[in-house]
Amino acid sequence: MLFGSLILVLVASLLLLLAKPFAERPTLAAAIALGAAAIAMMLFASSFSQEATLLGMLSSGHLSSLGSALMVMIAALTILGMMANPYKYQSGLSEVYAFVLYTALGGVLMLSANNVLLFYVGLELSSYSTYILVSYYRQHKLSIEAGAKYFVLGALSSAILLYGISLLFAATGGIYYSDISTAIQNTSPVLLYGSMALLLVGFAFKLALAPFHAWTPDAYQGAPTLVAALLSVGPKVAVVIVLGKFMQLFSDDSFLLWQQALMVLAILSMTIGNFQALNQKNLKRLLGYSSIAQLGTLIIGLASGNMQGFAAVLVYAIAYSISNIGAFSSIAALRDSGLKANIEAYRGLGQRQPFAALALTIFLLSLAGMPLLAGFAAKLFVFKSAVDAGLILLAFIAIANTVLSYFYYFRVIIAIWLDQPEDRAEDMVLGLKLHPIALSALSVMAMVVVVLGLWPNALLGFVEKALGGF
Amino acid sequence: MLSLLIFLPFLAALASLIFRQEDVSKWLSLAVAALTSLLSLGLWLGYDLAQGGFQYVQDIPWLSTLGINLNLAADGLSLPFLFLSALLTLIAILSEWQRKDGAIFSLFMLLEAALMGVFASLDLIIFFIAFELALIPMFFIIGVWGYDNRRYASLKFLLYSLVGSVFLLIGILSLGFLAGDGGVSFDYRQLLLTAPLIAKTPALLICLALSIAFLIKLPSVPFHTWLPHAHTQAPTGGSIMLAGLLLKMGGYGLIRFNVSLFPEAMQTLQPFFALLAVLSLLYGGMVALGQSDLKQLIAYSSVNHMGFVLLGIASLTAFGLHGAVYQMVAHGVITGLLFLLIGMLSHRTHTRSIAALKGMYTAMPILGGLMWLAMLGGAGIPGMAGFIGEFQAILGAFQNPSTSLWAVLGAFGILVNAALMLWTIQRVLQGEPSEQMKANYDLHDITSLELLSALPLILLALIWGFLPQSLSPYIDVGVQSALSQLGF
Repeated sequence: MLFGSLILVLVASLLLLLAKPFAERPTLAAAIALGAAAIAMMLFASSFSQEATLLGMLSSGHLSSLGSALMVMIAALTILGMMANPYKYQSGLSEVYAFVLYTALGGVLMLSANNVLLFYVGLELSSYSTYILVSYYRQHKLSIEAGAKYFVLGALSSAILLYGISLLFAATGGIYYSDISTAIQNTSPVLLYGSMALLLVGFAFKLALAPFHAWTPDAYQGAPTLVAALLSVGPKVAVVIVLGKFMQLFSDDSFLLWQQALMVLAILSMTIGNFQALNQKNLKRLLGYSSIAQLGTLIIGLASGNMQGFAAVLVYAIAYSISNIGAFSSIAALRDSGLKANIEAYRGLGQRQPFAALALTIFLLSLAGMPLLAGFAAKLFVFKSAVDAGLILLAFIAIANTVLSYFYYFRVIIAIWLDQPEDRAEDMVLGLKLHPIALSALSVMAMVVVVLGLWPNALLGFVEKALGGF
Repeated sequence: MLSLLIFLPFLAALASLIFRQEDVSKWLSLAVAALTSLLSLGLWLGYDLAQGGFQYVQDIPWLSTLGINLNLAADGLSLPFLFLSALLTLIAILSEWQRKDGAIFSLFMLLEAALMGVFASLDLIIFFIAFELALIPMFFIIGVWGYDNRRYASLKFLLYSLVGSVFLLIGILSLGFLAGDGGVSFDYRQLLLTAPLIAKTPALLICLALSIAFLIKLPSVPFHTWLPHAHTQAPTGGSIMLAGLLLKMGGYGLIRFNVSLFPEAMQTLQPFFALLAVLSLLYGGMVALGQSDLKQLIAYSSVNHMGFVLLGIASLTAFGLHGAVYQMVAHGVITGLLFLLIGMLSHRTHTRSIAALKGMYTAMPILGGLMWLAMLGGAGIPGMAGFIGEFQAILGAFQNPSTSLWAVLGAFGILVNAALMLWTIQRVLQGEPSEQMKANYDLHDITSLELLSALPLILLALIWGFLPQSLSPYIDVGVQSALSQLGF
C-alpha cells in the first residue's frame, strides 16, 4: 500500500510537471493534485497497521504511515489554499502543485526509508522542491532573496548532515538502521561523537532551531504565503520524526548527550524565537519566529527520551501543523482580498471579515496553547513528558515561554477585535470578501482544531496505536 | 447534574455564536442563566449535610490516556460558589440588557461555564483549564465593551493572570508527577491521600507555585495592581463577574488545594500569608480612601475585603477558614450589588467621579437607599453577610498564637474599611444634588427591571447576615476536609 501511494503521488506530480495542458487549466491541475493526495492519504490510513518492505530499502509501519498521512495532508491543505487564487503563481500553475507534492513525497521517503542514504535522498527531494517554491515569485526581489538565502543555508546544512551520516558509516560500516544499531555498541566513541555533533547541527538547521534559525524569517516573508505554511510544517515534521529514529540508533549512554544538546537547542529556540517575535510587525515574520519557538517546544518531547515524549512529539506535530497552516492560509486568503500581512492592516478585522477573523483567532489561540483547542492538549502532553522525565526546569522554562508567546499572539488578536479599522478612507472597502474555497478550507481547519481540542483522546489513541502503546 | 451546569452555558455560548442573532443570544443566555441558577440552588438544598464530603460525583472520561478526566463533584465549599456563579451571571446579563450586541451575552455564558468548571472539578488539569478559560471571555468583555482605557486594562488583566497560570500549571504537573507513585494522577481525591507523602522541599515549592497563582487572582498586595484598572474599565456586568466570582477562584484554590494538600507547607508559609493579608487589609483600605473614582474605590475596597479572606486562611484554624469562605460568599453578593448599583448610577449621571456626585439619596430615594444598604454591608455592619466573615476571620487569626499579632494589626483594617464606606456614603449619598447635575441629567429612580435584578442580592445579603445558619453548616462541612488535614 505504501508503495502504491508513493507511485501514485509520483505519477501525479510528474504529470503535472510535464504535461502542458494542465498549465492552462488550474482547476483540473488542482483536482489531480488533490485527488492524488486524497487517495494517498486514504491508502496510508488504511494500511496503517500493515508492515511491508520494498526492495529492502523502504519499510512501512505504524509510525511511517501516520507520518506519511500527515505529510500528504499538509500538502493537500497547501494545495487547497493555493486553489483559491491560482493566478498568483503566474510562472506555471501546475508546476507549483507538482512541487508541493514532491515536498510531501520527499517527506514520505524520509519516513519510510530504512537506511540512512534513502533518508538523505528523501530529504534532498523535499528540500529542493521547497528551494524552488520559496523563490516562486520570480519577479519579486524579496522572493528571490529568500530563495537564495534558503538555498545556500539549506545546501550547507544538507552537506553537514551528510558528513555526519558518512562518519556514522565509517564508525559502524552500515547504512541500514538495523545494522547501525547493532554495530554501534562496540565502535570508537571519537567517530561517533563527531558524527553526533554533525548530525545535530544538520538537523537543527533543517528544523530551524536556534542558533541555526537565521534563515527562517527572511525565507517565510519572501516566500508565497502558502509556501511559507508548507515550509514551516511539511519537511520539519518528517525531519523531527527521523531525528527521533536517529536518537534511538545510538546507545543508551550517549542519550544523555543528545538530551543535553536538545535541551539547549529547545531553550534557545523557544526563548530567542519568542523574544524576536515580540517586535514583529509583519505577520508572516511573526509566524516565522513563532514557528522557531514552536519547534523548540516540539523537541522537548524528544529530549524527554521516553515513549510518552515521542508520542507527545507526534501529537504536537499534528496539532501544530494544522494550526500553523490554518494561520498562514488565513493570511493568504486575506491577502488575496487585498489585506496586507501587517498587524496594522489587521486592525478591526473583526468588523471587516468576522469569519476569517474568528478562524485566525482560533488558529492563533491554538498555537498559543489555549485550552479546548488542539494546541493545548499537545503542549500539555509535551510538558508532562518533560516533567515525567524529571526535566522540571526545562518544563518551567517552556511554560514561561508559552506565556511569553501569548504577548504576540494576543497582540494580533487585540488588533483584530479590540482596535478600530485603521482609516475609513474612501478607497478602503470596509467589508472584505473571501474566496469560497478559502472560506471552506479555513472552516474545515478551524473545525478540526476545535474538535481535536475538545476530544483529544481520538488523536492520542491514534498515536498510541502508532507507537504500540506508551 | 453538575455536568449540566457546565455544558448548558457552554452550548448556549456556542449556539449564540453560530446563530449570531442579538435577540436569540439575549434570551437564550437569560434562560440558561436562570435555569442554572435554579438547578444549582436545587443541588445546594439537596446536599446531604449529614453525609458530608463530595456528592453528585460524575466521572466523565476525557483524556484518559493521560489520566485526565472530567471528574465533577460538589461539597459544602463549592456549592455556594456554584450557585453564586449562576446567579451573578443572571444579574450581569440583566445589567447589560440594553446592549445591542449579542456577543457579550455569549461571552457571559462562556464565563459561566468556565466558572462552573473551576468550582465543580476534582481533576486538577480540568481545574486549570477552566481557570485559564475564564480569562478569555473576561478579557474580551473588558477589552471590547469597556470604558476608554479598556485596551490597557484588559491587557494588564490578561498578563497578570497568565503569569499566574505558569506557576499554576507547573505546580499541578509537578504535583501530579510527585504524588502519583508510578502512575501520574490529577485526581483530587487521590491526591488528598498521596500529597502528604511528597518530601518537604518539593512540597513547599509546589505550594508556593500554586500560592502565587491564587494570590494574583485573589488579589493580594503586591499582586493587586491589575484589579483597579480592570474594574474601572469593565462594563457593569464585567465588574459584577470579576468582583463576585473571578476573585473567589483565588481564595477557593487556596483552601481547596494549598491548605488541604499541603498543610505542612502552609504552616511554613503562614507568616508570609499573614503579612500579605495585613498589608492587603491596611494598604488596600488606605489607597481606597484616596480614590476619586467611585468604581475604583470599590475595587480597592475589594483588596481590603480579600485581606480578611487571606487572614482567615493564614490562621489555619476552623474559625479562620470558615470566616474566609463566609467572607468570600458575602463579598460576592455585596460587592456584586455595589457594582450593579454604581452601574445604574453612572448610567444616569454619566460620571463616576465622587466629587461630581452628591445628594444622590435625595435625588433618587430608592436607588440611594439601596446603595446606602450595600455600602453599609461593605463596611461589615452586623446584620449583613459581610460582618460574619470578617469577624470570624479576625477571631480565627487571633486564636492561633502564631498569627494573633497579625490579627491585632488586621483588626485596624475593619476601621479603615468602615471609615471608607461611611465617608463614601457621606460624599455620594448625603447632601443635596448639585444644580448642574439636576439640570443636565434625568435622575429618575430605580426602574422595576433594575430593582428585580438587585433584589436577589439584597435578600441574600440580609438572609446570610441575619440567619448565618442557612450558610454556615455547609461551609463547616466544606472546610472539614482541609481541617482534618491540618490535624483538627
